[in-house]
Amino acid sequence: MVINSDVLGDFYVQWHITNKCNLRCKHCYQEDYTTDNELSFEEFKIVFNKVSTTLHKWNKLGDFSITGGEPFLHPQIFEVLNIVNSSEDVSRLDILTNGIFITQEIIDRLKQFNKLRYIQISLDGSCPQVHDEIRGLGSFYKALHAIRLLIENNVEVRVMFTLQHFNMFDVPSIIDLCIKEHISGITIERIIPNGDKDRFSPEAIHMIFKYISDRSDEEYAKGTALKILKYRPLWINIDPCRAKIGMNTPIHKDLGGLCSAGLDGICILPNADVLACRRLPIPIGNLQVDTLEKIWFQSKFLWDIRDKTYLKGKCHSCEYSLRCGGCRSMAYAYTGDYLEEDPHCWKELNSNNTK
Amino acid sequence: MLEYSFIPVEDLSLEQLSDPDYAIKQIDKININNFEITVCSKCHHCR
Repeated sequence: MVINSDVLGDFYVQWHITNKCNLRCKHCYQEDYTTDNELSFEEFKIVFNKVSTTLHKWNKLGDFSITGGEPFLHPQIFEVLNIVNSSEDVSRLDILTNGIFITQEIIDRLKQFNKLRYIQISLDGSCPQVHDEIRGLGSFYKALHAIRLLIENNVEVRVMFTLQHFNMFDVPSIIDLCIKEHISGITIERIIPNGDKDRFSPEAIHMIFKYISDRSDEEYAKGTALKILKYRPLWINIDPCRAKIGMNTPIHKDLGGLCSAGLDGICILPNADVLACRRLPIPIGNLQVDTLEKIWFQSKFLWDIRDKTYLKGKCHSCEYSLRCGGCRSMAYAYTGDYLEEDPHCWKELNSNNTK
Repeated sequence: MLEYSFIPVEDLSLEQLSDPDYAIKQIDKININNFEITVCSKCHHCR
């Protein structure tokens, strides 16, 4: 068996505990920013217990990311974190935030959570001119202040950068900034377009991914601590040899990975609706009504995306489908069919790869 | 949002209904290109 050991041991849960948010980022996939359908804290505890009981039965440990909306706007955020952190069925805990509400007092309270691995802050630009245009006036310096405060307090920080037309030329600078600020890892992820806006060509994505990969190699050679993470569909196209068994490629240089949707994780919305991926707006159940077991084992949607032979177009016949499989949410956003090929894939098929 | 649907238990095997890693193990079985199988949850996140 050549499955990465993390994959079989952990189960990833990205839990959006609130829709409430202080920002209105241009690329946000949320339509509702109200708290109308959110679980109460008592309901949250019941649903959490349902999930942890199932994880226990499966002999798995939960790897939880708590997010929103903006999670620090949840009135009982610390109680929520405490429930997750205290569970014997949880191994790790992260918080995904825009960083704006992080203060010394918040950090002092976060220090009680021994399973907190890192705080991920969304930075969509290396300067206010770029970041604020996407996320709102004044948000850049507030996020940067939060990053510095967290690092001063020895809390690990990672950055998420959503790649879009407006910030594509800022990729080199965001990497520079992350290195300068001692951030431990950055993920640069493609925007899921809403309509015709922000659609990239495969050539543009290839050019950007190649730059990031080359830059990542260069920084690794220099001994830079920043990890530029590339465990996502399409990255394997840069250099498939690095994904082969026995290469022992260091994390800085590793390329490609299947999307976790349907394989080792779920996304839970504030009303307990479950999605395979937050970016794929197709509900597969609701944890107030359905058990996690029923959703995981019986969802038709999950079985559709698990079987890579169901994939269409280039993805159907691609020899890298077991380490890539394309992004199903990207296919859905571009075509309305989640089994279609990843529209950004630049790989040319070999002549013997036919549909 | 679209509506969701479930497959009846009688249409699934015992392994499909009991092993949470069934799908990834099936992927590993047909891994003729000898890739190390990993998933994006190792780094995170689709936010």
